[in-house]
Amino acid sequence: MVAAEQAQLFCRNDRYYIRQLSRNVPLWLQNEYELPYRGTVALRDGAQLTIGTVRTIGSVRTLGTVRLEYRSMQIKAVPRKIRCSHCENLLDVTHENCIWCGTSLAFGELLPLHAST
Amino acid sequence: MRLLDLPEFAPFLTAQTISENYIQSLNLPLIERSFLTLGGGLGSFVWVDYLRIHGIDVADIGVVGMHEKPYQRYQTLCKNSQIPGHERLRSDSGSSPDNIWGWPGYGLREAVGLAKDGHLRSASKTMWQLFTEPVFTQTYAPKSETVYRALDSEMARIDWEAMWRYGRIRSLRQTDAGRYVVLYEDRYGNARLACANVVHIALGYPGSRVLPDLQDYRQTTMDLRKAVNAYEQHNHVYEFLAEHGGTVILRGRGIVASRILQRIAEVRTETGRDDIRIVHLMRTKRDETTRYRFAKRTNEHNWQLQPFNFPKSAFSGNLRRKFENTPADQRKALIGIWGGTTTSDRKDWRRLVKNGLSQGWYTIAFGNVRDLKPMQSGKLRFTVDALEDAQETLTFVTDFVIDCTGLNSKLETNPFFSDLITQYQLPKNDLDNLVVSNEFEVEGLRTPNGKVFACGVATLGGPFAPVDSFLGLQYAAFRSLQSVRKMRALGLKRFSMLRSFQQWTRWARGLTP
Repeated sequence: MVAAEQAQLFCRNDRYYIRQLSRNVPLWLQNEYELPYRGTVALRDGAQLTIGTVRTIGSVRTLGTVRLEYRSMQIKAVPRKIRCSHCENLLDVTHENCIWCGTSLAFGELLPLHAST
Repeated sequence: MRLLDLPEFAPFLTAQTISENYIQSLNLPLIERSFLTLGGGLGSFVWVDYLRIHGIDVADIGVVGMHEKPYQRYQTLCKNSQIPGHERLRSDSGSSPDNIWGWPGYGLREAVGLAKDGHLRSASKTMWQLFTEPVFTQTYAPKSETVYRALDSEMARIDWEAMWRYGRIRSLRQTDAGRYVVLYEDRYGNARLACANVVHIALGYPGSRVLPDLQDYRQTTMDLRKAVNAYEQHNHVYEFLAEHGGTVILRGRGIVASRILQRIAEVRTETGRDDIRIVHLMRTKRDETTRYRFAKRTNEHNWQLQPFNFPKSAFSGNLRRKFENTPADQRKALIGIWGGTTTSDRKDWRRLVKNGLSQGWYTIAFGNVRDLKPMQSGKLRFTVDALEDAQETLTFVTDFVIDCTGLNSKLETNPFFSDLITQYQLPKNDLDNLVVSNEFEVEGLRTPNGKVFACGVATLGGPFAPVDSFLGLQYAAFRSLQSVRKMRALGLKRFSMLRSFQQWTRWARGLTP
């Protein structure tokens, strides 16, 4: 049994959390704690997650589980530049609008840091 | 290389209709929803709020935008234009994007909050203002922080976080199954896809307006600190004035200009510096009263005053109906009469202008900008062609120029809209914005199973005049959902009086819709 959207993994203030999004397929933490629907927990390094189990829900029988393990890794954000879609100047990606012409950079072209033209 | 220039995404550039097989063959992360809103700002939030209240589940709604909080960009623009949390916006009590019923409005909530904290006098004052505005008192407006906190709590109630995805929108196309596919980029520039039957475009303003002379100055001098747009971060101007005094040239005469004027006056009072001066440069004189039938707009010292950017009945009264029924080619003229550049009719601002003029620290000059040049002293020389005689030039030596002429509303500067208009040959209205139906549908994008709606400034000149106001966003959401309800398959529940009351009680108790 596969849920269209089982759980959401998200990051807040450098910590990762998992949120149960399915009403039917259970999500277990460390094989002992079942998250309620929309329940959220912070993940520790080495956390064991189990999605699904063998049980019957109405007429549907779930026949398996997915086991996941969470390991925190140091992921470096890729620094990027952005090219204004209007005046084509190259800017730091932190800007919201182009400092030269004012155009929103939401539609600018993302480029690697080393780009210079 | 742009994402759209990659060969695998060629159909997103060239084709009107994309096959579902091709979408699957891209093997990219794909979110599939019934409803998808693009932008993720206040326009998206209001639309999603309506959907949730009309019975649509979180799992059926997708939001793609660049800010986690829907008011984030709005808040930044407010802060930069000197409207911090404790300052009031130009919006009425009932225009509450967190509460589709508009009751209790911000005014009543503020009064109750004050009364609970024991500030009975202030609470009564707010209530008095609400009952007597605008005849005996000036129009009530909520503090910006009040709006942000209310939005925070509504965000939590409708579970906004579960629907939102980070994304820079690149392209929208119809699919051969009659729905829509959106190509977007994540934070790191990776391609992502989203499919939906109903798409709502709420991308806001295409940027801030940097006037050509300011652009020239910036490009030639590389100086971004002395000539600024009011919507950019420019606190260094007030810090400099507090320490050294100086002259500021102000351009534009809307609400932002009023707020900047107030801020500079505050610096003047707080520091006791008499050497802080403002030259307000205006392109034209406005000494004639603007009239529409029996109504007239107050004009004072070349500032045009009215409580909101449009007359109140253009939001929900007879002028709204009139505007909707007006032929498209006559709407531009009505927008010019009812709207235009005006500022809020606030007693403190009117007093400030009057005192500034009489004391001489605030002066008004008229003319068209010729050029802006740096001086060796570090100041700026601002040359203006005088209004009465084009041969005569006025020269001002100033420390800063603050441009308060507003935001850029030109649709063609947004590559997403530009692509859509070209690819689907979408018509534009007299204000060069998208032609939308009375339900805010972009009819040129309709498929057998899908519809695309738009809101905000992209629809200015359409069926509703104040489209970029809180109430305008709510009105657009309300009308678009009336159209969606005709697509019965999507599960939108009928918003009967009973359901409305039930939902309001859930809102009042902070329960999920």
